[in-house]
Amino acid sequence: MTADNDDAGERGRPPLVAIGCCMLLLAAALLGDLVTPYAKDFADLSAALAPPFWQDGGSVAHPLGTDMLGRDLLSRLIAGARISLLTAGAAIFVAGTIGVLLGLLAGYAGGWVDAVVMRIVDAFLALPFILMALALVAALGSGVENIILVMIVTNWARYARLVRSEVLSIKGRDFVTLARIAGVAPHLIAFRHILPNALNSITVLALLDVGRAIILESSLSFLGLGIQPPAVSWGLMLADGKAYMSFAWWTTTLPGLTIVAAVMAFNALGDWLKTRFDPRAAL
Amino acid sequence: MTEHVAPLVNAIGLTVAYGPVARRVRPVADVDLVVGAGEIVGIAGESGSGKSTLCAALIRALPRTASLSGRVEFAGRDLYALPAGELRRLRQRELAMVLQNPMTSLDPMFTIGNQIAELLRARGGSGDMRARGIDLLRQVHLTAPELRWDQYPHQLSGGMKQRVLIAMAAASAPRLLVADEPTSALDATIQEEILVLLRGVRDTHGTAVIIVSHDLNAIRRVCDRTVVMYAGRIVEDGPTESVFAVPRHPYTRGLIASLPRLEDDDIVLSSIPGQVPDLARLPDGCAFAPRCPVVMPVCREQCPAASGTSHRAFCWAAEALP
Amino acid sequence: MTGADPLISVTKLRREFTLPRHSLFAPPHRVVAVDDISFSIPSGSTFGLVGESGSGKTTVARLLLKLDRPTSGEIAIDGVSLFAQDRAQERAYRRTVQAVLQDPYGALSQRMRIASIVGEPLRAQGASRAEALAVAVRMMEAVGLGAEALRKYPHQFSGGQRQRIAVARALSVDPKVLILDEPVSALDVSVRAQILGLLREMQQRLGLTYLFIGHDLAIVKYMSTMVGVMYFGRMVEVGPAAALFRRPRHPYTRKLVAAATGRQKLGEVRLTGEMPSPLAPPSGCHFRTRCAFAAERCTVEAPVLRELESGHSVACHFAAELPEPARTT
Repeated sequence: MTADNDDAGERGRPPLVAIGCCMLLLAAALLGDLVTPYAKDFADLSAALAPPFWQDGGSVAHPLGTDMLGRDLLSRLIAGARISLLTAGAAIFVAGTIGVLLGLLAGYAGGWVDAVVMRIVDAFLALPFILMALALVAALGSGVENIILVMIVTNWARYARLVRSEVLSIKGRDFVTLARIAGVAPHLIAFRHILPNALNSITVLALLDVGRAIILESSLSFLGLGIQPPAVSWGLMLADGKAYMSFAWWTTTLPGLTIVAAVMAFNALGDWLKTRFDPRAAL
Repeated sequence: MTEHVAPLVNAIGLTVAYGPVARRVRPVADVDLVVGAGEIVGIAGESGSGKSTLCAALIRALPRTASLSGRVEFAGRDLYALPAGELRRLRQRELAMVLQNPMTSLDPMFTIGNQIAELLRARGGSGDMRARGIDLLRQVHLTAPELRWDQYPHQLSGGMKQRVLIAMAAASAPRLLVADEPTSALDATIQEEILVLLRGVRDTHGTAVIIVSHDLNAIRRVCDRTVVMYAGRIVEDGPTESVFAVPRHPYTRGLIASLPRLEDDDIVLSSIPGQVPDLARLPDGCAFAPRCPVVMPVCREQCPAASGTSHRAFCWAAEALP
Repeated sequence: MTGADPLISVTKLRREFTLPRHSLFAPPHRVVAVDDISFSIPSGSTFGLVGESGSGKTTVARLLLKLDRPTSGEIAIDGVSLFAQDRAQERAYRRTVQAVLQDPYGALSQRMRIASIVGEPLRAQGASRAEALAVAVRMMEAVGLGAEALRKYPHQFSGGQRQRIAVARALSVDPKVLILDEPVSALDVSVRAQILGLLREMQQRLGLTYLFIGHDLAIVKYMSTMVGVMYFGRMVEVGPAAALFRRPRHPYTRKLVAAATGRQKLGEVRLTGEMPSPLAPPSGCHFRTRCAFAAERCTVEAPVLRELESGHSVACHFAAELPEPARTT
């Protein structure tokens, strides 16, 4: 006999493909120049616009083809991974730290501190990303550091809001009450009791954020506001290849597919962790 | 006295298991249980006894990860062999369930009236549901039912919500109503009311009622028959009066003894030493043996068989006693 | 300081809550959770507090634990007013009063080892890790769990064992007072006696004073010297445990006791009506909407606690004249 309710019990098996993708990307990001078959800006004009190996005219020497300057696409994709993931990582780390600290403060202190912090959070959440990006780039110029800055400024508020609501719900739990009764100092309660319990949600948010960050960075770079040559970025590659799309599809499409794959992989990982951490899914 | 009336629910050798083979957990093990039409049966036990799992198994409400063996018959038909359509019809007309937490059983987005009307319509009603619905609320002694009809769940107290849920459960005059800890989340003075209501459903509609509870006093007050569970097995099963007056299983005796009585001048609290065993690591033989005051060598080797007929006890020592 | 002096003294304690308004023009709703409560607890004794949800007993506990401030009124412990303390006194207060709460699963932080959990109150007082550990070892042995348990995590323990850990933690700072809020309600019946026995033993050994909040009247009677019954924020009856339960005087207490004695057939003890909404408390005596003896006077005048017999006070206009309930022996 089998039972037939489909709730509980099925927290989902780990998404192996997604995890594999993420690990591949991380490896590419960390090893970077060490694993590229060619230097990322090595231009061989004689091999310009060579198609991927499975098409006529392609060869295994350039498995994914070359762009209009004869630069190997595979190498540039790997190099782009480094930029994308490093900027995403840096931005999320800094935004996360600021957001978590302020969220803890607002949630635990309550009262006017909470009100003031949350109004600031609301203000930052209301800022339109593109406008901010344009303004900051106009003021500070483009480049890696400035994109990271833009991403931090527009993102920290989401962490603050999440952590604050987690704090509010954890604050009422008995072990926090007992810590207060024991006379534990508020900052210790916040870091030793509340933060570890909010870590799950923060991790999920951060993972889902990686995809967002990749898209933001790629968009900025595509618009010419982000990564500048000779640095390599998937967004830049998208822009470069645009003009050749009709007869050399790989110059644009492959970077585009890489972006999609990267975003989906991190999202799948984040989603799976979210389900796994969900307290209601536990028996 | 001949028994030619077929039981409403008949579980034979029912076992529910979870988990990988190496660490199999059996919240219900080898249960034979009969519930007659119009009978009020109380399933008593503490945490880890398996009573809630048994309750779910009897109405085919277990999660997909559960594997069952044995048989559950409802009105003579194999419950687990029913196709989906028939099962749904059964659930609409003949089976009803009331859960422990009335706070979460009602949808906070819709008014009480809305939810009752939806239920009545699903059971084949048509026309003006309001009058019928308000009448149902009156039957469960909900004060000012016309007012409540348009209110939202959060505007009602726990006791009131539980009344609404019982009203909804009894609406189709089901043959079986299962109540899993119906009074635990409620205040003492309201618990009484809810128990009265549950008995009322049987008296009015002839509904059989299964009440799962850790509150022995509640079961004693309202149930015709009492079933006591420990570590997934039934340890005692008989008419309530008999079980409480002359408990045949040492666990039942210990449980009843540990209930303090307010009327005693000098209250003495006793407990059963040790704690409920981990279902993943049950000892051989009787699961209660490590805590049993009358344990014998055979108890540690073999699981006890039933002794007695109308009042059964699963205990080797009970065989020796009348 | 003799043992008979009240250690805890509560005087006209009041806590009002203001609920957010629905519209800018409506006046804000005020809910009186605790309505001018007064009682005292002698040193070394147990005061049982009984009441259903909405009675205010949890609020009283929170006020005693300084988790909340009263709207008005006084709480004094050992003669010192609770809400006029400076920093140092407040710190000392955290040594004087500790608590054991209802939920054994929520009380212990999942990611901390037992040693850290039991040692935390002492560490908050400035003790070193070594000192806290030494005390933790003693405490765990005192509650019947070995020192090996200190290395483990909460999820490795059952509900009853977790409550023992909670008791060990509470006693680690050598308090004078324990606030016990339904400490055994979430435990299996067969395990309750173990924890209650432990609490009584500790009380005798260490001369502790308890406030015991519970809804199982028999358990409250077992643990308490004096008992107070709360309804809707007010104290409706206070008296010695045995006398109060043997012969309850307030109509509400009588209903509670009758329902708990459980010998009546089902349906004989009916408490009609629901608890009124806290936003609209009945005028005069709050219990009058569910009271079989309610009269004109009850609508107009709120009854005050009056002493009927030695130490036994009731807040009911007709307490002295109520007919005796039918005995069921």
